[in-house]
Amino acid sequence: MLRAVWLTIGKEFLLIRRDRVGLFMLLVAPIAVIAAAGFSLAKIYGGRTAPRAEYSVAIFDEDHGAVGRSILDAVEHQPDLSVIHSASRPDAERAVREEKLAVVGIVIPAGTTDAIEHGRAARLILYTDPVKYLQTIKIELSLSDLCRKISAGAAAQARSQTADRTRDFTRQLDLARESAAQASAEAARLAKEAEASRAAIAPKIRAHIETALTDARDRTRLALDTELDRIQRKLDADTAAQQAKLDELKDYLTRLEIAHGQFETWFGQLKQLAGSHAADIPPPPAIPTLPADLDLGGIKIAPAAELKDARARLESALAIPPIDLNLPELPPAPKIPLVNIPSIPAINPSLAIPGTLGLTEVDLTGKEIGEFAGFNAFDLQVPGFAVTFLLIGMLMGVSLALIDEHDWGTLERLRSASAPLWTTLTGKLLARFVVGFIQMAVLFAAGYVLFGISLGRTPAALMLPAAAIAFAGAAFGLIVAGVGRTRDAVLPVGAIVIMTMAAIGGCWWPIDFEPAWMQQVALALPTTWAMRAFNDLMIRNLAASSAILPAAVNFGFGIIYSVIGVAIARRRFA
Amino acid sequence: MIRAEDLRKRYGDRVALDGVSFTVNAGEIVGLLGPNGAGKTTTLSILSGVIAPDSGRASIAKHDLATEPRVARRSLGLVPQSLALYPTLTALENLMFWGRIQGMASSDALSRARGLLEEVGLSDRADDEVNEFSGGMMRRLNIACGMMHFPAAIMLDEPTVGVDPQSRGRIFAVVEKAAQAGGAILYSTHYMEEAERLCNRIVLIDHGKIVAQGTDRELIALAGTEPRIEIMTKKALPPGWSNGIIGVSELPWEVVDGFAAALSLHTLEQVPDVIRRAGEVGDEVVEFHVHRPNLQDAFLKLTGHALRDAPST
Repeated sequence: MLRAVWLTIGKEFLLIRRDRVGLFMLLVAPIAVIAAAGFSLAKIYGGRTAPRAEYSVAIFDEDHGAVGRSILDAVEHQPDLSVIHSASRPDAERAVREEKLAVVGIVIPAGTTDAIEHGRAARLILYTDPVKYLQTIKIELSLSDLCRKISAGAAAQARSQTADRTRDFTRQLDLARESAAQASAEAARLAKEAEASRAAIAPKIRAHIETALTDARDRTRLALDTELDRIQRKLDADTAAQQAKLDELKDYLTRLEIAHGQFETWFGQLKQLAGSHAADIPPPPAIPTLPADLDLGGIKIAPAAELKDARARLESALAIPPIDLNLPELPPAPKIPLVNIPSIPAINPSLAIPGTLGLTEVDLTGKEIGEFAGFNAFDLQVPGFAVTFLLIGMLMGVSLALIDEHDWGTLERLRSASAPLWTTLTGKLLARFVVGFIQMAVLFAAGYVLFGISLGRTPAALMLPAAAIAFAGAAFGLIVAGVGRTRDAVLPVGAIVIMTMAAIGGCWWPIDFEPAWMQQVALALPTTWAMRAFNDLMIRNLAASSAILPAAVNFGFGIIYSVIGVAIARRRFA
Repeated sequence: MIRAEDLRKRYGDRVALDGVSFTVNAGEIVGLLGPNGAGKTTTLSILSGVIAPDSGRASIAKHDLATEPRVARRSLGLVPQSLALYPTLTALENLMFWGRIQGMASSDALSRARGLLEEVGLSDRADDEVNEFSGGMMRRLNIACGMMHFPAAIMLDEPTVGVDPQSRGRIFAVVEKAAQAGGAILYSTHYMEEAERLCNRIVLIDHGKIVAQGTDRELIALAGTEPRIEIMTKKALPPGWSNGIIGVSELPWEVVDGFAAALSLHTLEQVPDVIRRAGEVGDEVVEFHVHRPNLQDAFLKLTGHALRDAPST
């Protein structure tokens, strides 16, 4: 039996290979539709495949200020916008509503810059075309983002200026504080240096003084010696002279004393000779007598012994006592008081420039992906239309192939050839499953090469939901084959089923566009789970494990469909 | 050999087969002849194991289809009325697939396929896709597919529908060769000429019942020996239109398009009188055929209606 299954698979591959229209529908048509849908919807989803300069906007700048210029400049640099410069408000309005040259007309009212600069609200005026709803929404989003950026820019600029000034002030305070500290440190250093210098200079002073003193003493001594010598010599000379005089005097006195004795002896003899008249003879003048204690022999000018004593005393006096150089204490370095320069007090929040509320888009891994980054529309369209065309291939392939086999009579011949129906069904399912899987792989590869789609963190993980939806789709084809009894019946039934499953399941647009009740209904469809897995892996960039549950659900759907489909097919074709 | 024993089959209230029994021996070609809806295809479907009878037994090469279905089927080559071919595969690919699905090794299947392509005159078209073939070529290939695995029994269901004389001749040759090789051939057709030309025996079936079986001669004898004329006229011929012409009797006869009638003649000399009367009553004689009794006549005689008059089932 397995041989029959295997041969059926081989035969199915041959049939599919020969079916050029079928191959076109499997591979080429999906790429064409994906390209059309992807490029069309890229404008909605953003991303790098979004076309450039796709929307025209008419702008009239009444403001002519910095804000007006900023808006104009920003709009001109928006990749998906092209600018028509209007000369007046009516021109801008006419460009939108009558001439239909622009999707939106933008008027930047006069005074916008002034209002912004002075903290007042300012509003742009938009002329819109209600028919161009989506484009208008897109442009409004861009403009809102732009306004927010301009407001944020202005606030940031003000905040930056305040911060700059605060920073300057703080820096100046810091400099002052630093200067004071430096001065204080310098004073301390100088005091320390002075102390050190004082400590270092005392011995020098002492030595210097000592040297000076020694020098002075030497010179004094020399001078004294010289003078003393001179005095000595003079004294000696004087003493010698005086000694000589004294000697002369002593000699005189000695002779005087001798003369006095002789006079006395002469006078005593005179009086004796004046006998009676001796009384009448007046006494001779008294000749002073030498003091008794006068030892004329002893009169001698002593050599200048005192002078020697004086020299000794002077010498002694000249001896320099140890100099106790008590240099006067330097007055302590004046403490430069630390200048307590106060910090800038925190700005009262109520006075702060209000911040702006922005958006930062972060993917599910926590990675920041930038504001309004959007995503490659093909990340949605490639899996969406790949699943759609997979279903076409599966549903039509399995059901039409079965009906064809029935109509051709080959099914009857197979059954007569020891190939039970189940082998045919299994072979067809497996062949279609493999073809569907290859189809998905080819479409994803084409999407990657042609449209730069993301294959997620683990490209191999895409195989899991692809295999699951291929299996579910192939199995559902059995049911369709049993329900639609002819090709003419299968085509509309299949088309309706495929369209419904694809649309509700989020193959053509994000399922979140749908109302909540429809999203609940969608849980009963394999397309929903397939798209959930593909979106998780490709757009949300989740781990491969995120695909396990959706794939398991779809394998479950496949098993259920297979059981139902085989039961119907047995009744239909047996 | 092929054996059918009291086969019965109903589809709701409609009786498709009502006690059909016959045997096809090895080397024998047996024609299963009857109008559309007579039960030929149902019989073949039961005998090929595609459907099960409500009652009765069927066996192929002595293998009961109920108890030994796989062996029985392996012994059988079915050539269904529809062209059971894959149109986008080549002739060779079709043959290879059917041979291999019957258990042949690849090399054996290739050799057999080449031989059969030669036999049915398609060797030069072996690698062409079947959808490029004419109807006759497809019919020949269809037969070859049924004979790929050297089956002991071959059942052909209307194998010459819509084919050209050349293809029909080829088909006959192939069938005869298979019989000569010992195959038991059950040949279902509503063309009495084919049955007369090809079959050793003929089983006449109508409304799910076998009305007669035997050789063509035996069956024709059941219809007598009087010649028969079939006339097509511009206007309808009312019942009793031939009254007055002695020795003729009107036969039941209906055709889908135009107005026609059939008469049993006593002698061929009565033909001018009959033509003249038909021209008078039917405005103008468009066409007429005169022939001796055949299986058609036998069938008419046995069932009261022609082979080609019943709606398809």
